[in-house]
Amino acid sequence: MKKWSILLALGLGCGDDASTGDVTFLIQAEDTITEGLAAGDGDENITDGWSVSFDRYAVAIGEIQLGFATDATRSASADDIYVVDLASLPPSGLSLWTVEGLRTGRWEVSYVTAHAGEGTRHESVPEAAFQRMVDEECTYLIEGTMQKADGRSCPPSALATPPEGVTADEEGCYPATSVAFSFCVDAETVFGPCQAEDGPSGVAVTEGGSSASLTIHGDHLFFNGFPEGEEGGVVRLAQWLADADLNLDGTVTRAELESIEPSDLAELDDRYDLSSPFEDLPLTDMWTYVRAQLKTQGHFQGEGECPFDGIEHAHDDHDHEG
Amino acid sequence: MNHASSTRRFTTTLLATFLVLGSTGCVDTGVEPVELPVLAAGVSAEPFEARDGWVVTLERADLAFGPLYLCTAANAGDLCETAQAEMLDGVVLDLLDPEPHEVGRLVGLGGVVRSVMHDYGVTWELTGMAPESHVDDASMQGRSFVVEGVAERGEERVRFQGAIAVTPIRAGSLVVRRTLSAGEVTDLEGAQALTLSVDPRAWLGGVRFEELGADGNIEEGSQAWRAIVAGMTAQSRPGIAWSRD
Repeated sequence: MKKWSILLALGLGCGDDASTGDVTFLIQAEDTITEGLAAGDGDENITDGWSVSFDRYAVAIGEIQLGFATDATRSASADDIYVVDLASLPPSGLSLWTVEGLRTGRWEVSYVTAHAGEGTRHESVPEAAFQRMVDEECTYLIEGTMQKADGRSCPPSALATPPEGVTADEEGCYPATSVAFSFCVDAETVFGPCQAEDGPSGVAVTEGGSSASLTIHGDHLFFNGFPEGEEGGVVRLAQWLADADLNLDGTVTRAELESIEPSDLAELDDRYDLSSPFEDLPLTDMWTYVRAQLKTQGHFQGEGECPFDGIEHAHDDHDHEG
Repeated sequence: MNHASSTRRFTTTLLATFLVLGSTGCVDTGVEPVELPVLAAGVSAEPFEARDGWVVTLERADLAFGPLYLCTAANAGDLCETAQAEMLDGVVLDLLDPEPHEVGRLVGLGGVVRSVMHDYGVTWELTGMAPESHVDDASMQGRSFVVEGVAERGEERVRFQGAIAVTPIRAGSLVVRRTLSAGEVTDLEGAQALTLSVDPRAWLGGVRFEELGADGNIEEGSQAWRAIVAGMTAQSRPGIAWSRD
């Protein structure tokens, strides 16, 4: 863990003898990442019978920006970006950043998900996986498997390339009880200012020290829309991803998703709300859909919200430990 | 945020402002009410190329539009707790007319707007049992987009028509919620007019015309239907431009 000193902006005058405190930031994974998503009818279940488990859920995250709530001239930051495998995190999260000597009071919090090449590999991410993220300029590396005992893959007939001799049933579907995926995804996003669920914005710094968590959710890939804020009305569905296995080799790839327009998938019917918040990311194919969904996954203190502005963050010349 | 609650919240805010202005005379509250025309422009009816080599000529492209809300928050939807300005009326736009025409009034308060949300003439109020048409125009059949035209590819010729409803999937939500691009963000104070640019060609561009039936009807749930809805909600949303002093 690296400690950062505050970078107070102008306006320190005023003969500051105010009290100060430190704040520690943790990275925390939603349990949908560490425990997977079960099939069922529960609030956080996948409702079309598929279950999903993640072998790896690496993300490049950091560059935390702090702004004093009552004085816009006071700011601080923890600039390090780490590439961490969320699937291996303990439930309590992982402490990665500390900012010392902050004036006590409330501070607004923002952070970014970045390209892995800007970050430092955490020991939870194997060197080969990290290198893939760097080479492919990824923010996320997500690898996992979907399973369903009577599962089927129903690729669009105009795009399907089944192996020779394999024929579809009368509905154009093929048996598929297990479908794997490995997505290295560019999803640079700025999140913030963040607000705890039903709570105040940012973090309260006290003399005794404070902590806050950057929380990454793991289930947005399976949402039937792009809810901003409340996720209560969301339904989780996974059949569309099974249907994207165009060559029926049991693995969905980026190339397959790039070749599928949303309208090609019969699954994306009136249960879906495709209104993406990102004007600069029109959903012309399903790979873009994946990118857009991942750009909404940054949260705060568990279920707290961080507006996502959809813009790529500025590439500063930070020095990062290799 | 649903449009009903948006309206309520906004109206409350606006009313409070007017009361303050009225009771204090020249007191500067720092927030000025604004009202400006909303114009809309479509495109010319020239043929255009769609997916898989089809050349499409539109003969009718009528769009039900509204209500419209502009928000100060970077993200619309649930994160927009108070609309900064709104056009509550549902209107019908002729998308084959490239000339801007006034279609309504935007009413609100001065201040920066960063996101927008709107329906396409079919709304689902938070307290409603089901989506309902927001446009009083029988020719729209209670739908969002009525389209007719011809698609041609070599010797193939398909005359098509459809009346597509773009419906919120849950009560209180709107079908388009997006962050404004850098060029669309503005301070309403000093804005003179809002112009909506709507291009239906992009909505038809993803249709597989070879999959339409012999009658050319765009059936609900078909690939053509999904392509148009995706175009309207996720690929080519109405653009926003401001005229200023």
